[in-house]
Amino acid sequence: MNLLESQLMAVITLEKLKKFALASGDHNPIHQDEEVAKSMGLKGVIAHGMFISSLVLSRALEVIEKTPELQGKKISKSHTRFRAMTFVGDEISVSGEWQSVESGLKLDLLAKNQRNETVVTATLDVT
Amino acid sequence: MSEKFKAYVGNKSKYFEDCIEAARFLDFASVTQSPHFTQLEALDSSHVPTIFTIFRMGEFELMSQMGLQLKQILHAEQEYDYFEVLKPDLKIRYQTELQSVHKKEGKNGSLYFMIFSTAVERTLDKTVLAQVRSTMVYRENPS
Repeated sequence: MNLLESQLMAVITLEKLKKFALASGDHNPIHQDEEVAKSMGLKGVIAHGMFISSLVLSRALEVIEKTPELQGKKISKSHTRFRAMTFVGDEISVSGEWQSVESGLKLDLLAKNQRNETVVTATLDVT
Repeated sequence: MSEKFKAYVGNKSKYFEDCIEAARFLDFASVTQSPHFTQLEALDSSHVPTIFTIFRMGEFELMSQMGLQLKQILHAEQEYDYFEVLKPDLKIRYQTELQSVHKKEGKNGSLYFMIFSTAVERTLDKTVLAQVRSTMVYRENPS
């Protein structure tokens, strides 16, 4: 088992969410409009799950490229679970571990906020 | 299986066509902090693996047919199987199917877990580049 140290990936801002909405085409208003988010019973605007998932996979790519044993390998499968909501102002850090398996490598990553709550978990197959 | 949306299970969206030009690819890579976002030559789905999230028009079409409002939708899980690399300017097409709906009772009312499956194909030869599975949650009484 090889541990990946926790790395701060982003502080979530409304500006970042609006940019992600434009880039991805996901214009669900709960990710951009405070009033709509609150009317839906949320504490405030929440981040797109796929934005946090993208940060997790970007961290995975960094690890793959910086680790000699992993260089040249690619993500062949990913499974992300959204465990908790991420709000504007949250600080998202990503850590994890990887190990060799029969088919190649398996990375288990998790994104936590500044309250140490896990918001996203992801399992990646790298071959 | 939830009776309420049972009739929609198995429904497929129309085929949507798309072609992500380099500038749009670069923008997505930059926003999502891909380590390669400044390298045009490395701009492909192996370096920007969540780029496939752009192809969600089929999901939106099926949700609209079901009468669901986007603001009542949350994301629960996302899976990708990658078979071929998506590069900028490649013409693709995709179609989404509603695979299942399951109901759970939450503290504020019913939650409907819907699994959508999308095959993203190269338009030229119909080779599947990626298979996408999204689990979305419809909150019936969100407020």
